[in-house]
Amino acid sequence: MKEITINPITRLEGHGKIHIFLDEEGNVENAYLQVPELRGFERFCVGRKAEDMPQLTSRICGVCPVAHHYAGTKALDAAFNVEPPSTAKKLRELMYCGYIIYDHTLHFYYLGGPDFIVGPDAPPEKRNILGVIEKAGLEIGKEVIKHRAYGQKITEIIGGKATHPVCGLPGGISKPLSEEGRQEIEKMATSCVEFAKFTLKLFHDIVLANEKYVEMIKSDAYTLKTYYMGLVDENNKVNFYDGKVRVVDPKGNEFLKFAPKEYLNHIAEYVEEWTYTKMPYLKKVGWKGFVDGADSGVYRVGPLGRLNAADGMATPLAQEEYELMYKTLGGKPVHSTLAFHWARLIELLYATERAVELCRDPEITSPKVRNTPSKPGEGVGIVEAARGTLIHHYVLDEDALVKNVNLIVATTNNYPAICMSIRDAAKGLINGGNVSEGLLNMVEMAFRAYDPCFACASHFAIGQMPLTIEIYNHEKKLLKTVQR
Amino acid sequence: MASEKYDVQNELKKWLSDAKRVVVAGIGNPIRLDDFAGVKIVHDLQGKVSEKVYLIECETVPENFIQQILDFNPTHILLIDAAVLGLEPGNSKLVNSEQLAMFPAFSTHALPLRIFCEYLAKTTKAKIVLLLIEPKNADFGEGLTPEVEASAQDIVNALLRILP
Repeated sequence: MKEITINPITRLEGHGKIHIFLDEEGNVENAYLQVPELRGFERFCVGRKAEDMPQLTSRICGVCPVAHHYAGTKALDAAFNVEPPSTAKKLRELMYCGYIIYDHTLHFYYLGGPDFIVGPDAPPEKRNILGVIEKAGLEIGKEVIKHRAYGQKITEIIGGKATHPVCGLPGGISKPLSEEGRQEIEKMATSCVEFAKFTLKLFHDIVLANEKYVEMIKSDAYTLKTYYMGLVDENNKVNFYDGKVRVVDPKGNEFLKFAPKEYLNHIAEYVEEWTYTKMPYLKKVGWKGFVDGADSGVYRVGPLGRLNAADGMATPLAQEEYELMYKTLGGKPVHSTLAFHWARLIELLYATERAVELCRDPEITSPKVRNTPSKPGEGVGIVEAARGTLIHHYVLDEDALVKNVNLIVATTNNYPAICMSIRDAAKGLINGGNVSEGLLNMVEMAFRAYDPCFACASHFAIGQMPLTIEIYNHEKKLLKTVQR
Repeated sequence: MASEKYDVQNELKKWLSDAKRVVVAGIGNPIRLDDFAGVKIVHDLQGKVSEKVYLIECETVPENFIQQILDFNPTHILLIDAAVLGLEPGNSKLVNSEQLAMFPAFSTHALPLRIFCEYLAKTTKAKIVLLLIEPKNADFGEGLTPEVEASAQDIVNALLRILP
């Protein structure tokens, strides 16, 4: 058996390794992404003060600190049995919109989007923001930087710090929003709406107007018929910050809808020997291995997961684009992995529109932003991180110290599907042992669409990164380990 | 080890000799032991430098501060980070941004440092250099190991002497 390893994966948060296993004919047999992830973090939290958790967990990753901050804060709301005032919830959601704005912009212009904007066959060194600037102009680069900074500024005004917020407290938020702050946010959010519209136009012009790209999006190589999961509001519309978890089946019918505290009744985790990352699946369906379809408990989260799991978007422009996506790609649910990119931009537009709505809400500057917590206990907090459903579950002792922690991060939810997408893309693009740089990148495109985030166990910024190649036989028995 | 640190400080001094406005950006994760070294150095410089120096504690997302860096209009950008280079723990090395081309566009950060530096080079006229410190341990935890702590303190003292 021949093995091709792509390592390191460029432009991915954290580091991982792809193993592609070829059969004797040189065709793809299997492919896996192997990552060291979150080792020891849950243990590291035990014994900490409960109120430290939103700050501590936000350090898991610099890209989605707001998601961890609020999953943690909501878990504490539940653990202390306290309902935040309505203004605190709105401020949390407004700040969350700022996070989605800067994070989705990052992905489209810096990380996964350049595969389309610059082109899947372009040299790897061009498939990033530098290539985007070369193709679309330096002015676009400046707009991207400016609007990412706006998203960060919105989180800073409410959260106290741009990168790692310090505002979330059980029962509310640390300070109200001033009128001056509100006006500043309104100005930035309004500009972000125009920027999101511009970004969607760019996507239409470059991606959707290109038949080859649309064909690629719809191709079998990038199609997985799975279940989908995401938070929805009371009208079953997409919501990043709050609501119930809704799951639809591969035909788009509602399969489950549950409150955060019930997550263990519906999600289980399968453990494979070759990865630190667990494989979540729907308990009711069961783990059937790396297969799609209604009989497999594999589900997907993230932008496409959320849009498929919901009945629509709660803002008008995003709803229009939502309808257009499903019309263009053949109705709900859309199973194309590459449609994550389009779904992400629809969410970007929604986040900007929602931010404008929230900062114009008369209640948003109310000083009542916190209710008093009661005795500590157990709590679950779920939010939609940019990459998908994020679950924090804490058990506290009587002194409000952390006794037990369970985190299911967005990328973990998608992990089985990511491995399957890599395998299927490889099957469609590597044949007879013939592999080119362009083809390998198209395999990478299959998982970059998910915007995976692997907060890795150690820091190898540049230079001689340890490289480990592990070769397994068909019985998953380790045959050889090669290190350099 | 002493001569290695001495060399780095001399190199820093030479590199900053014509500096008019300097951004010093610390990169790293505060709950990854020695990975925090770059941010700790910048943190320890806070309140002790002139208005010609702009200090940024980037933690793990330097790309989030591009706009602020552009607004400051620096002549020099010094990025301080922990990196596995095969040196003794605590030893450090200056790597200029052109040298990054030989490294993969890869990082634990969302935007690889190489791409981050190339973008800054394209949009500013500043000279860009990375001061990289060899970590001893970057597992989950708080605080630096003694070797890296000593090195970080040496670098803080040197920068206080050298910065404009």
